[in-house]
Amino acid sequence: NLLLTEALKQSDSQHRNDKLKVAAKLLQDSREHTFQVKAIDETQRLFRIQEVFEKDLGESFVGLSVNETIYKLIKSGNIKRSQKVQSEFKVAEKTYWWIRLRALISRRDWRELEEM
Amino acid sequence: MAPTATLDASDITEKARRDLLQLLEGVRGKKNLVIEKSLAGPVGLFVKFSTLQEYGVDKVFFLENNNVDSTQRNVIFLARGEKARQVQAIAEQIKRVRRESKQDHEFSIFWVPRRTLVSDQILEETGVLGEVNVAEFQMYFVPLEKTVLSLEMDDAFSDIYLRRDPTAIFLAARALMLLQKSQGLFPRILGKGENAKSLANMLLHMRAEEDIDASSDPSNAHVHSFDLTPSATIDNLIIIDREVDFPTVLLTQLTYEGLIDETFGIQNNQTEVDSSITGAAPSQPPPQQTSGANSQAPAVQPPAPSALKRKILLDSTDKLYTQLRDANFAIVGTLLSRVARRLQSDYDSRHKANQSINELREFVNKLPSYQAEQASLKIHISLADELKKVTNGDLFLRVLEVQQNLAAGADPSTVHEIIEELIARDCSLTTVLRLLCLESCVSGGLRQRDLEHFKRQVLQGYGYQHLLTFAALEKIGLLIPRVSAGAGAYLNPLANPSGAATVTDYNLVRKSLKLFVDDVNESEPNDIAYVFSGYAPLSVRLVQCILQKPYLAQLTNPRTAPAANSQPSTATASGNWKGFEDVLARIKGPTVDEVQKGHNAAASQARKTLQGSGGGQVKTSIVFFLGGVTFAEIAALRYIDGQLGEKRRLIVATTSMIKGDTAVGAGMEGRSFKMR
Repeated sequence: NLLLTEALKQSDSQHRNDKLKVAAKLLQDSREHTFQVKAIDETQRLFRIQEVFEKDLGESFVGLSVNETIYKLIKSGNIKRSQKVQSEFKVAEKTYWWIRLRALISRRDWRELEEM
Repeated sequence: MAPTATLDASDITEKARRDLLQLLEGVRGKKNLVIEKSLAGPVGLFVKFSTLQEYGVDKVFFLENNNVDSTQRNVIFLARGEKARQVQAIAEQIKRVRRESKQDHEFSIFWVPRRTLVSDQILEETGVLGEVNVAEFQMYFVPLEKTVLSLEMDDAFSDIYLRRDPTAIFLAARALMLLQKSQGLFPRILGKGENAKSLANMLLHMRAEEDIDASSDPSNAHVHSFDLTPSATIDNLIIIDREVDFPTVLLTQLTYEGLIDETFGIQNNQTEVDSSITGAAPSQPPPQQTSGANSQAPAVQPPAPSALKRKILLDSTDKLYTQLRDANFAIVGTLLSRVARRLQSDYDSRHKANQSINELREFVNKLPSYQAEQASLKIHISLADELKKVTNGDLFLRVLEVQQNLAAGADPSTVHEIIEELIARDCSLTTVLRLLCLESCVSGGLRQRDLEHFKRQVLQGYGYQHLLTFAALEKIGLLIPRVSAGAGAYLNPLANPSGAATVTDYNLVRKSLKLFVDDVNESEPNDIAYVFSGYAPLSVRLVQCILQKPYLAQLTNPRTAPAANSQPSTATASGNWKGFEDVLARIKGPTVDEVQKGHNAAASQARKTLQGSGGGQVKTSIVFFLGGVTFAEIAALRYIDGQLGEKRRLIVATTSMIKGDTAVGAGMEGRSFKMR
């Protein structure tokens, strides 16, 4: 299964999703790899959501990690969307606040900070 | 070929230089030299560019993108013959040059350290084998210091543990074999760990091969048999497999040299530092800075990076650095200020009244050395300053807190929260992974639930490509789930007749070898634990098991110590694992203990008498770290060397220098899902 994951690195958007699916399918057969299956599943969801953001906001999101996505969203002022990502991927509350803190500081948005 | 009295690093340097220059001489006329990037540093350690020029080298290139110049008729490649990729690169370059230039070219390839079947095969396939002169440049050990030898194989760690590629071990065996040929057999080979075992076996095997060669060729026989008698100068060889002691690598080194390595990175005794830290490179660098520096740099490097980065040579030619390198960073500041004050007073002495002309002259004579010292002082102050900034940083302290807790054997779950916070704060992934790996190594794996929890956090924080990272780390054995079956094994060690535990039982080993010392004295070290401010590297403790038995016995068991001391202890002299078998059984991997005897007893007897009464002889122990050694461990070994006194010398040999980032980085997935 490593080979497959390796292969998906090179391919672009469309191919990648296909590869991920194949990988997930293969892994599903064995019981030990439930964690990997879940992770690959999440990867696919993340891509989908990032593609939506890209269309909506006209900025590039694909390739960022979950935390980075949230960071970028808050930084550009899309708190609502960031919260959606948080709930979607079950990011821990504490983690979320750290990210939010960093993002707001980098934006120099002191007003928002105070409200926190 | 009479064995020299003591093993001397400069001999090795000298030999390597002679060999290379001889090879260069063999090629007539002017030539361009193409060097593999990872070899440039080591080669630069013993040959200067000006010397190369004397031997007709016109330009030096790195072997990378198609940059080989066709200005000279002769083109020489200098590369490692182990990696197929390099060989292919060379073949391609040759083809390209031949295609593009109108001139006739003559190509030579010097393989370091040996010509391999693979390389020949590839050259043949690409159709260039017939047109190149192939030679070997046998460079094995590169001395970094008088007592530190290194093979300088940067990939050794990932090769051995991730890819299970024994090349590095084989080369290590060859290198040690060469040592044996010049110094005589190692009377005793001790070791710990799976790979240490295979290295020892390989050594025995190679020796057997030599014997057969010798007997089949009678004209040579007496030469060989003489060479292969036990050495009078080398007492034993201690092989430590890195696998035995991962935690030491994962901890942040706290010696001055170690910290420089952690923050800036040290390669081939040089570190590259942003010039804003040390101040712009002075127009006239102090003499000891340039003496060994990589003088090929101007020829091969584009000017842009060198303007921002400054290379600093760090080795024993810098007197000040020799004092500082092994000190715990906590006291580097005081040391520096002491030196500064002394320099000041030296300067002031000039103002002393009624000086005679002689005194004045003496002072003027000393001036250059003062200036040099001042310059190096300046550099080290600014370096220390920069390190101070790093070490006082919030993140660094957090990381250190976790490390110390884990090393001290605190309940790992207490540090989980901090690690989580670090992930959330987007601390560098290597740091996080180092901590996780450390926890896994110390406590025999993470609990399944915790492991998955952290995996999730990391995947979300740094991207899903790190699924592969985790797979790799698990393969290396750095980050593993705790196996319940394993727990049964070390509850009952007798169930494992081979005596080789699969996992190191850290809690037990920590106690019996006193790996964690609470009251360390950082300014005047009283135990090797000072290099990590409390944690004593397991690897070095193992060396102590062999060389400093009484000391360790006293340390680990203060109550029975007096009794042990009262009886005349002969164990120190014999130098074996005796007395520590139980502990060793709890550490991962098999234990090695081989005695090598000369098959010609008379010859060895004669040698002994030749060397005079063995009593006054300085005995040398070679400590070989398979898979890399950290600067902190070297510092600790130097400390032991000091403790052992005049009668014994320690020489550290290794495949490469290593630090935690390298170890973790070996498994890390570099690529990401970013679109290109």
